Amino acid sequence: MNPPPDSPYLWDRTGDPDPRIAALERALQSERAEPDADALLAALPERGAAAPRHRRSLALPRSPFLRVALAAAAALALVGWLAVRSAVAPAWEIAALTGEVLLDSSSLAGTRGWREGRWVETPEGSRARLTGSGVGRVTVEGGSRLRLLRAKADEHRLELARGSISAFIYAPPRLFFVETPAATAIDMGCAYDLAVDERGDGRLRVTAGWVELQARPVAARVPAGASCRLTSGVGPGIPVFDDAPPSVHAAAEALEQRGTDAGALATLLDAARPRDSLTLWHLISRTRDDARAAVISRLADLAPPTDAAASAAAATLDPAALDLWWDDLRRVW
Amino acid sequence: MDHPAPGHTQALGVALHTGARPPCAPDGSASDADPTDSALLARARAGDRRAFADLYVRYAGLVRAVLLVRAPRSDCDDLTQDVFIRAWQRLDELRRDDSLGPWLAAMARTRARDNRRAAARRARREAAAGAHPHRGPRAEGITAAHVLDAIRSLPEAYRDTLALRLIEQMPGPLIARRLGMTEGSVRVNLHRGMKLLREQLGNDEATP
Repeated sequence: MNPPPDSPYLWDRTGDPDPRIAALERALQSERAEPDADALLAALPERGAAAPRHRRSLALPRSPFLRVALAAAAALALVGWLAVRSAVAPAWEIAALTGEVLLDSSSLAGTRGWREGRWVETPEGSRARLTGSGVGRVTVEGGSRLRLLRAKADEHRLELARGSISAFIYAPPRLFFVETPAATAIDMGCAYDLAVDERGDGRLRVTAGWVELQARPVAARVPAGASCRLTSGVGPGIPVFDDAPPSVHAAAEALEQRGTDAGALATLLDAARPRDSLTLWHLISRTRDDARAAVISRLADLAPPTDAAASAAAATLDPAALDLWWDDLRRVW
Repeated sequence: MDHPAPGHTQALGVALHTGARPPCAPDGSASDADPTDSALLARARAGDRRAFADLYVRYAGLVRAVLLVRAPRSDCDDLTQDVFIRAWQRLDELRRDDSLGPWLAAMARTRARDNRRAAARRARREAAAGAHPHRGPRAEGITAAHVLDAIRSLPEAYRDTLALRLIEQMPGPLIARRLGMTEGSVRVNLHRGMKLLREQLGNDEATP
């Protein structure tokens, strides 16, 4: 890409000012940022606190008496809420839908609270429903075994040892996690089916929103309509849209199993549709050298990045460039 | 805060607004006396809010410029602050210190998209009330509002580079570093974007 000739002033503000550009600069002079560090410091929450969705000013009463009364009422409400919360309901409840459901090896009757550390088992033919307050619902199919690892305001974490679940989550992203022997499924605002077999291998299928799979150092992002295999000891495979051509599915599976397979890669690149940019994007970080260059070239053909430099930066696995390209791809799907 | 090329000292007043000395050398890089981004990030990750505020002063221009070419001007100050609050909460997700600029710019683009629907509703209300969405001083017959509207109408690839060059008055090499792009790409985007911008403003009969 040869840089076109232009005035030095446009490039780096050297040389004689171009009057047309200088006029635009003057017109926009009033728009320059005036960062107020003190205002930011006043607004910064504690690290790890949830980001405020909206900031609104709260009109407090002018009367000191009313202010004290308001503060006292708020304190009482807080104490009451904490007392009720600790005395009454655990964050999760479990109910048997069909058949016999076991809670720590004891048969479950009706609806019970589900606390951290306790195992739920659904023998074949039975089903259970887990309900997390403010989190979502999880349907547990027969033949499953899972436990609640953590139920805190900032994190709800389950362990699925085997079996299958369907999750419908309405909590904010990155609050609900399911650990499996192969990877951790991180909810990003979604609905999904997750299955794990006796060997610890499994499959994730997302029906709404998207899910991130993590098994350091391997990660995968699975949007609605796509699936991803999970392999114990390896991690997440390569996500593929369910409606992708059979040749794309077969090639992705071959690449997962063999790592490098020039024939499979060539088949995939040839058969890929713009929508299969999902699969190609994941292959960037799972290929090397010429193979990576071929993947990036094909991906740029099918779904060019908004930032022309992103493809070059992606070749070095620059996280920001990969994220930018990912954002562009989501508009293609 | 990013600073323009040597000889354009008006930007220094921006940093002085906070009572702090300018945190960057004139080309936008940290000078010998100033902590580097990595040093400030390390302190911020350890909970040093003042270090993060220094990064805010250094990068607020980038974030606000990216927002200005996507969101209503009246929202941009709040959105800029939102972006930095989110960045503060997600600092541990930044995997490479030298990607801070592209990372913040990506967050700003996402935040602008999230804001689009709410802004559309507000714009309809303002239009119904006869309010002008934003006004600015006129310079040689053209207002900031006209120029911003024209930049917003350009392909996305050109908006950020033009905004950083014309609003924050950054030189091309600094724009490349801030956005994580090659200098060649920035040069092309500036050239083509400026050509389109002139055509657009010409169509509006407001060419300076």
